[in-house]
Amino acid sequence: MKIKNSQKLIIEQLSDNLEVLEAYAKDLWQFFPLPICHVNPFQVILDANLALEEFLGYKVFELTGEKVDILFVDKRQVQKIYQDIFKKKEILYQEGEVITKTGERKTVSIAARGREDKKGNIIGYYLAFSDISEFKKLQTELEEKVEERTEELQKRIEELEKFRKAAVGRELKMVELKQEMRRLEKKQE
Amino acid sequence: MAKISKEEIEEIKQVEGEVMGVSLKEDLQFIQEKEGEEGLKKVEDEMGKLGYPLKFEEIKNFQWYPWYLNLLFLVVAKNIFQWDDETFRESGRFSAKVSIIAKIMVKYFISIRRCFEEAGNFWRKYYTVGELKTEEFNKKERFAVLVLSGVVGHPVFCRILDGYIWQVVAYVAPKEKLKVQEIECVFRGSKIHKFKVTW
Repeated sequence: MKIKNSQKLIIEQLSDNLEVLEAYAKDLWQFFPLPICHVNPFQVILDANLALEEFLGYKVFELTGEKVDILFVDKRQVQKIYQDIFKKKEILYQEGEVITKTGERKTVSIAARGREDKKGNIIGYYLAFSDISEFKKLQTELEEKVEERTEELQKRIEELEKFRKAAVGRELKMVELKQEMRRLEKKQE
Repeated sequence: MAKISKEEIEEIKQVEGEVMGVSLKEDLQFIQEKEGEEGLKKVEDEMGKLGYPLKFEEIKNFQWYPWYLNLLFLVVAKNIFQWDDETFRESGRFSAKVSIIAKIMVKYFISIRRCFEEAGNFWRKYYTVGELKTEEFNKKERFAVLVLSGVVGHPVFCRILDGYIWQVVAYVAPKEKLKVQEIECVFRGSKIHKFKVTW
């Protein structure tokens, strides 16, 4: 009876420790402000964090079990990411476009890192997204402004060129007339 | 409201074995998701009235609970919300999506064969009774047969298991043609529960 009670106590303590560990792991996973999901070699989402929920509008359980390509505008990019992970084990700053539950498109910078088993086989990967939509919007606006200014500048240059040609033309004409005047003066003498 | 006869309650109480707290939490979480906080409260209140108080927040994930408790609140939910078989399958699929045990186990499923090889291990993480094993696995013909022996359970549980198995296999197999069918059942005269999975 004594042994049984102590075993029961050990089991209860282990059970409590597991609870604490599970809560810790869950809190850490949910804490990450970066939208992250865990994908298996079959391109199926196994888990996602709260940040991804907020970013894409899906609940975690709506994404779990779905193919990861539902998140991407260009479905081929998923295959490319997986191939890159096999070659390089990780990816940083790959640009892409994702699509939210409501159909909104967002430009993202993608980071991914492979998960390996003890033999070094890739058994899945973590996928993280950084929203660069605003940055890309600003970049596009800046490029448009630069293009506009360049066009304006080009027009001004063309106008100046015209003026220069006209001015130079007039100067040459005046030189010609002066030469003609001297010639005529000499003739008079 | 739920009208469970005393006879049915007694029958459910005969179910032996214990289940990990996570299982109760997964099922209650489904009720919360499907029927809202009010729905969850209705089930909790009804369980209290029946003499088996149960609070979602107080359940510990890694503690063992009598399996009949899990089955009882599922039957209560069935009666309150008039759930059909498909809803219980949905509950099974939901559990396999949110389960901490499933999240840990499926991380290592790198093939469909491995998935079926781990069936027994999976079962033992949840229950102290019964045994689940893969009786047959045919990759070429794309089917497998799972046998659950040593347990009775409840018909609602059979549907939940349908859904759970479907979702776990869906992590590693294309789901467009994935089907799970219980081809033998203790409640239809057999001594075992047998599930055929095709993909």
